[in-house]
Amino acid sequence: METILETNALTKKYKNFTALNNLNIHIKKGSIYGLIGKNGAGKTTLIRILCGLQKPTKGDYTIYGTSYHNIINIRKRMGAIIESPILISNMTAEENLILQSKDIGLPDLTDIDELLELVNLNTTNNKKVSDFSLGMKERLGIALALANNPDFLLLDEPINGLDPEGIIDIRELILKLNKEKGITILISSHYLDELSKIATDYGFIDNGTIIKEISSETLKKQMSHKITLKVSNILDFVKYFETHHYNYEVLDNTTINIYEKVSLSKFMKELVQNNLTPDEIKEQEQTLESYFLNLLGGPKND
Amino acid sequence: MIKLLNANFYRLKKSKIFWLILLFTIFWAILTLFTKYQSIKKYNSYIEIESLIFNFIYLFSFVITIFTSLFLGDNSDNTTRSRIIIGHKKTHIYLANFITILTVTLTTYSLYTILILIFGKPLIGGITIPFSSFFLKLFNLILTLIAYSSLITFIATTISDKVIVTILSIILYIILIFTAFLLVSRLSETEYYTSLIYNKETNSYTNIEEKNPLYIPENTKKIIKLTIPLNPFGLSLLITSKENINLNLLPLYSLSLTIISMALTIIFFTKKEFK
Repeated sequence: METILETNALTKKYKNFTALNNLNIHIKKGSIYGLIGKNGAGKTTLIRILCGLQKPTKGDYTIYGTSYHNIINIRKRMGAIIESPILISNMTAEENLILQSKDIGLPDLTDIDELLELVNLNTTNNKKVSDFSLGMKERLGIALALANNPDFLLLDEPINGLDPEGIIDIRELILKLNKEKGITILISSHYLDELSKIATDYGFIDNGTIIKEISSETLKKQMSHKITLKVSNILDFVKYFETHHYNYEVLDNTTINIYEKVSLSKFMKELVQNNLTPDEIKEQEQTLESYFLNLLGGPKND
Repeated sequence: MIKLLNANFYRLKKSKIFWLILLFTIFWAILTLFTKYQSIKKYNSYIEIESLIFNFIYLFSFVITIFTSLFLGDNSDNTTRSRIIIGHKKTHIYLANFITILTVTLTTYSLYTILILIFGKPLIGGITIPFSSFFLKLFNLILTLIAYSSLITFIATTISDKVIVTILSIILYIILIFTAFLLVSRLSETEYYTSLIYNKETNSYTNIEEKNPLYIPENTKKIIKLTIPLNPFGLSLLITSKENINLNLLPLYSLSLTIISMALTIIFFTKKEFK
């Protein structure tokens, strides 16, 4: 499959702080690429660099096979929202779109109604953006990013601060843009469960480096089951799991999580044979969040 | 860049501050004509209509300072970010902004000039200096306005915070106008001034020549005279003065100032990184 974005040892330093450290990322055409990382991991810096707002200190990136040094025309095929949408608050949604269309240099403004309809803002009429809800602003931001009919969209934390209804709206819009218009989307978010509902590929970023890239399908296969144990003698359990190399996590004085694909009845039998009887045992599918924390080396790292 | 200019003019049309300064200029022209007409009627004052046009430049520069700070400062970084993302060059973004500011500056000042000339003629009288001299002075003043606008645009383009931009621009305006007036007035100070001393014993007055502490020595005067045209308001004072100044040379100073500040803006702006 064609790769839209590829970075090669991308590095960004601010004085003594390294925001991106030899970062390598690969985004395939038609994918929804979920960029996952803690605060300060480098997600926004990466998106800023890809949008041309900042220059890398070292390394290179190519979009549609063109190096960033000669990328000015390629940017016309991209749309982006970084942190918060860029809106003029004393204008209406339509006026904001007209302004964006003029900036882009669109010959006519006939697509504006279609864009407003797409983001469900076609009934806002003369309402100023300052009176919009966060969700409406975010949807208008997406409409602005779509004004140049891009085939690569970069969304940085698009659902931050949105209410559940707003989150659903944005999720459906992203899926629609990807499926119906074939737009490749890079999306960074803290809402990992939400991201897991739309992403086709993931990139896990930590300390400015991509520590793992994985497709959604492979991830599902790799995600282990989680077994939660409620115990009274936690030290005995920890000692046992340590010696038997179990992938475990102590949540508190009475709770332990085990991240292994094991049969529950077999596991229970094994524990009882070793004089370890849990007060309660529960089996759960591992979430994207716990997978991510495991990748980073457990919750202590968060 | 045409696309960016088109977008800027659309923003201008929607900008309250633009319409406010346009209304202010019309109001000020009417007020000026009315007060001067009253002064002629009541006190038989002698008023040169061209001085009403030339002297407006000092107040108008303040209006332009506020307009530029607010228009460019408002959403400045956001608008620039959005334009970079869709593939515009930073140099084009700056030039489009500067041309927009110049368009507003020149349109508004021209509007004031036309209003004063049309309505001033029957109320105050026509231009008292030769037309060629009037237009040469007006041309020079417009060039100083362009130079001044380029300085304010430099601040508004390179600094992100609207409040800081406005404060710094106002401070720059005050410093430039204060130093221009101070230096020009100090240059006109004589070496000695005459004091009238009263003698009680003889009950008479005598004139005494005293050294003027504000007097600037000739060598220093030469240096100051060289620096005055580097200040747009210094240039304006030279242009509007009654002294015999070579007006053909002054455009070089205005143009140099404009080119230097434009070059500096492009250098700083292209290096600026955006969040």
